[in-house]
Amino acid sequence: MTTAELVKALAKRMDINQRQARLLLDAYVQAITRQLAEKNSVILRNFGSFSVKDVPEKRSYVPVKKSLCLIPAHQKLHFKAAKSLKDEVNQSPVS
Amino acid sequence: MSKVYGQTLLDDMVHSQGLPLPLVKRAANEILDLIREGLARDGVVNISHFGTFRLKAVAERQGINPQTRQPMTIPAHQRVFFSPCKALRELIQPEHPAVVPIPAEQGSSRTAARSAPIAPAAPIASKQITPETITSDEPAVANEPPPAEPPVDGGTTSFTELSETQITSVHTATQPVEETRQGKTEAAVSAPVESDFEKPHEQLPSVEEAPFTIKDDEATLTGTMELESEFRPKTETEQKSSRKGYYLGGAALLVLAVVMASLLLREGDEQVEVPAQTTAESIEAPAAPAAVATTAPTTPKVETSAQQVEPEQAPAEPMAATPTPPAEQPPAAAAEEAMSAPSPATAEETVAAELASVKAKTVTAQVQAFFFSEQPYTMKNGESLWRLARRFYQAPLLWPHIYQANAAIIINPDNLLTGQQIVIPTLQGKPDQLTRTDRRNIAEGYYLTYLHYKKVGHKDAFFALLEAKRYDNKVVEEHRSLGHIRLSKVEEILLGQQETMPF
Repeated sequence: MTTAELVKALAKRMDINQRQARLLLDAYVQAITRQLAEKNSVILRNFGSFSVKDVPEKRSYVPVKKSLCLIPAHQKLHFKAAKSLKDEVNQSPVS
Repeated sequence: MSKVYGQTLLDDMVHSQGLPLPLVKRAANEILDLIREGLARDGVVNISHFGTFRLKAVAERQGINPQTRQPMTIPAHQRVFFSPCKALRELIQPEHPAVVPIPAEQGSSRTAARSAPIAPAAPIASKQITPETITSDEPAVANEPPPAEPPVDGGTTSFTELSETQITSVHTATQPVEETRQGKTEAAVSAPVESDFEKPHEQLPSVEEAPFTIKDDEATLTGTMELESEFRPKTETEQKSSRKGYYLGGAALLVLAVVMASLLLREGDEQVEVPAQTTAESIEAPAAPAAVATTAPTTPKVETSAQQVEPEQAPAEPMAATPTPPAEQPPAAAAEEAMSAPSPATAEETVAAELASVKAKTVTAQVQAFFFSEQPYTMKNGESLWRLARRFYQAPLLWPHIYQANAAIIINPDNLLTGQQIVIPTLQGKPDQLTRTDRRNIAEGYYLTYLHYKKVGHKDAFFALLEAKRYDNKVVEEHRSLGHIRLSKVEEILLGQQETMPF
């Protein structure tokens, strides 16, 4: 499903035109993004949660140079799906 | 880092965009619903300037039930992943951390990486460049240990004999620190270069202080000799012994295979014997009411396992009589057995019966549930008929069975569209035990594939026809008699050579 399809379906469901639907979608996404920029966790009921997690520094291997390297600590966006989303996606309860 | 809930997002939208709250609330719910539906339908939802929600298949794995602490099987399922777009990624992690190399002294192998802790870089030992090293014949190996000789004051004959061409530019940069030195050094001085070579003689360590010397021990000598022996070409006796190893290994594998095969066959015998015993004893001994209740669930499943086992034991039997679907037999048999059911006498038989029932529950019931349910299915992103056949029939080669049932809907069997609604037809038999109808359907599916490939100009068209004949000869013959197939002479010969498998 692309953004265009999502906007079209949203416009149809809410009985608004596609431009307005696009604006609403952008506003919603911006709201989430703003919260994430402040490193807040965004928890959406029956959907999932977005959070910013710390990734500790870690040794790795550079095969081209055949040497070790160090990936410094950094932060990463993490999404965890809610149980109802997982069930819907698997079309059956995940035992 | 605090937790923020949906309401905060709505407030944000209201204040920043000036939108009415009920509209915004409804929009938020609809958007999430649509993402959910899009994921369930297509497996991927891409929102520009935000990110992509994607489903990824996770294989079945063994886990532990956290409540009961018993091992359990976590079934294969789909997991939801979200990958943010670049702008969002960089918002969270502003400067991408550079990868810092770790020096080679600490071990440059993966195993060293996992085991060794990260230590600060050791200072690299400075190369010992002494005047003596310059006298060596190979000027490129300047960092070799100096020979164990007393320090030379200079003026060595070998040095004076060296011509300008033999001395590399590196060595010409060396200062003539020795006033007593004669020969080329005075003439060979070029512009001063900042390097270790420029150190005055007093700072350079003497030979005795050199950090490494060649050890002339016996141990090192024998060590190198042993090392060489590993890599020299094998003698005849060694070749024979290594070949013997291969023969032994092959023989061991054969023996193992024979033992496993015999064990499997014997297992089948035991399972057939057990229900025979239970039924014999059930006829003899009268039943207690409690025993009936406990055995009623076990005996039907024992019967199903017996019936499953019997066809498996005789795959070579001719498939003339189409076996009735196994699901219909066990309920009838179970009803009969439950009516007359007394208990099995010994504990061993109950254990065997329980094992059989567990096996039946886990394998047969699940397999039958798929084989005997005609399922509607919506295509997801990145899926193919082969995958569906693998998932539903555990036999990807039977994908034409699905194709022929949806021939009106599917235009191109190689490219199914996301969101397409198709029907997964039931497979009457099992993949290793197909019924006549199954084979006819699969052959039809292959024939349709042949037609499509011919139309499109795919080079594997004829192979599809051969496969159709492999499953059912009659399908091909019918279409040929009706004149739907035009074959070249070579193709006719090959088709004549193709035989229908007994399956």
